[in-house]
Amino acid sequence: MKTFNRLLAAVCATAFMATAMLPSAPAFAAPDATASLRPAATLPRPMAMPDGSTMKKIQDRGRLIVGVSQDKYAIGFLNPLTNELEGFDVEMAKAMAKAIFGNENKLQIIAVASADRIPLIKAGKVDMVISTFTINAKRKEEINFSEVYYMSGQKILVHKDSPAKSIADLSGQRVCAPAGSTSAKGIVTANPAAKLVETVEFTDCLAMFMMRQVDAISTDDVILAGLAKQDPFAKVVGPSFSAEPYGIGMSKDQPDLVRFVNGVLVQMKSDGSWKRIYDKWFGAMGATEPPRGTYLD
Amino acid sequence: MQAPNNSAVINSKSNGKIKGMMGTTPGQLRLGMFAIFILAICFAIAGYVGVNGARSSVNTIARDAVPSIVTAQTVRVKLLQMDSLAAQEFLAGGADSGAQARVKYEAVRKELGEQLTVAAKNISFGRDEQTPLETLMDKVQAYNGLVEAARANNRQGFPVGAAFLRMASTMLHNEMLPQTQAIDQLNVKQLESEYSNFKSASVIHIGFIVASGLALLVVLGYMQLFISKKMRRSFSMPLLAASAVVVALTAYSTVSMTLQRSNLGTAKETSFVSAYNWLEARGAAYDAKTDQSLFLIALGAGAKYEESAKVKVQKLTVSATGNEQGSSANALSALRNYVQQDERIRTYDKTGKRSEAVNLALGNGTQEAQKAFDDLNQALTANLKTATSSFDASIASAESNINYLDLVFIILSLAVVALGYFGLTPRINEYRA
Repeated sequence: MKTFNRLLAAVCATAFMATAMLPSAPAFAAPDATASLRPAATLPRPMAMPDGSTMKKIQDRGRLIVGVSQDKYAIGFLNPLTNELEGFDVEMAKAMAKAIFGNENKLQIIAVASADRIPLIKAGKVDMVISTFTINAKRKEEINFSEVYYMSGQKILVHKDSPAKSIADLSGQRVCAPAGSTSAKGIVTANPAAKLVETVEFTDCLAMFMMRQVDAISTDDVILAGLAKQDPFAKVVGPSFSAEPYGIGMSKDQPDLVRFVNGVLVQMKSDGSWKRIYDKWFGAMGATEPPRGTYLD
Repeated sequence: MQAPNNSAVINSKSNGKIKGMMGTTPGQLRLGMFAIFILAICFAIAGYVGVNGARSSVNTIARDAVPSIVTAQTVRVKLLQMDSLAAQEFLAGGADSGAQARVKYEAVRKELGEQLTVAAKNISFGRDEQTPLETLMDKVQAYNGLVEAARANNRQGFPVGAAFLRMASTMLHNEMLPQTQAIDQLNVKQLESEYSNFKSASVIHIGFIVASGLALLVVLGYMQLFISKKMRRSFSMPLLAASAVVVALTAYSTVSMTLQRSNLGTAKETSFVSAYNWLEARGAAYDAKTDQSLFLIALGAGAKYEESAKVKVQKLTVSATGNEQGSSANALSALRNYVQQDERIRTYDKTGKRSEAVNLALGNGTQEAQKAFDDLNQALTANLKTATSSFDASIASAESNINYLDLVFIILSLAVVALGYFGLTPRINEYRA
């Protein structure tokens, strides 16, 4: 019995230490929550999508329709100087278009607000949404997700003169996040005493933050990094208080498209194109490895 | 015994005196002259009050209420124009059309400042009008600040610029336009009440002039008959001249004041209504153009701006239809062309051709949206000019209809008094001899 207790204590201590040593990405409560459909062994060649498949319908239409955010600097944003959408998620969308058409420009991007992502997928107005879309069980009841293509975590953005170090220090203060986002729910869960202010877009939060109409913004670290780049008087602080595994959202009626997209992601993660895109947009945050996909089947 | 009441004694004395006068021919002549004097004064007062009342209504309507309404509406249009130009500049980014939009924005901002000064000088309702104006002036500064923040961030390629622009536009619609509406409504209320009072008062004034003129004529006619019967004299020429003056003045003033009423009615019910509608149409046109730009800036997530633009176009159609002043046909034709270009923009945008959509929205070519908008704006501005010119002309006519009429009333009424005096005094003197 003593030996068993020692063994149990050792296992617990090891597990605790392993958890504590994880850098910025916190552990999941349930690892399988992000599991998706396994991709086929080989990807069809561009412009040769299998007959009857969703990809073939997209190929016949002549363009891939993807919902992307337009207000997340470095992720999905309209560059006013070029009038083009740019960012990490936009490049992911281009990679999907290239996989179907062999041409990344066969792409129609629709800007989506956080609250519109699921309704647009369900209404069939977009083929997929690539927009810092956190995979969770509730959303999976309504739509399908690809495997994880980026692992993020929720932090806070405060004014440079703010003493706040974490979400726990923001009790009674106004903390902004877009309506309907997991970030908004995350704030309420992490600190119910914080005053949640909801907007349509992240940039609306930033504009209010710059005008001191809110005290902080809380969302995923990559989004906050993009916001901080636009305001020299802001800083990102605190440990992540939630795990935000990003997936590509698609319709529940199109499992073939989900498998295809997972295939493209596997290829991107293995051939170095994922890392190239990451370095281009988030290189300043430090090097990281692409997350590994997990599958249901 | 109780002493008799003093006033009763005086009344009985004056009654006795009048009875005494009524009993003799010279007494009756004196009474007739007195009646002519009194009625001539009444006639003069009725004319003076009627003419001045009418003139005051013209002044209140044409120099106070309507200019305040037009100023409030012009401020509204300028605000919407600024919003449209700010969105256009943002959409154009670093392109030439963006720089042009900025130059126009600054010009309109200056014009807005001038209009606000005009509005401040024309305050007629104290705090009720001053408060919204002060709020508006304050918000204009805040609005410009937000637009500047949008520009500064846009120039650095930061997406937060679009958020500042949306914030500015929302503030303009939710906090600034209601202030212009408040000023507008105060003055519209005043206009309606003044016009309604004028319409009923002018009938009463004309009625008083006619009644006092007729009463004067009756007395003059009676005295004429009296002289001819009692004194076996032919008609008294001065009394005849006095009667002619009263007839002419009554007829002339009745016609003039009726014409003035009609001209003011045309100014208010036709020209002003048309001008107001054209101003509203211009505002709706700028608003629709802003929605078009915001729709494109929202990159496919602008469904609410598309819906909003449809509402503005509908409002514009209603405002531009059936106006008696200005050409509704021209405006509606220009609007149809604009709507066609607008639909092309949305089709491009929805089929992934964003660059084409933006180029079409900013383009000045024959079949491009900016040109279509400029044509529409030009048609609306021309119609507004027609309606305001017509309003000014009707007001000028209304004023000229009663020009100096109050003075004429006083002078001619004094002439009637003098003629009455000269007509009856020789007859009274005959009895002295």
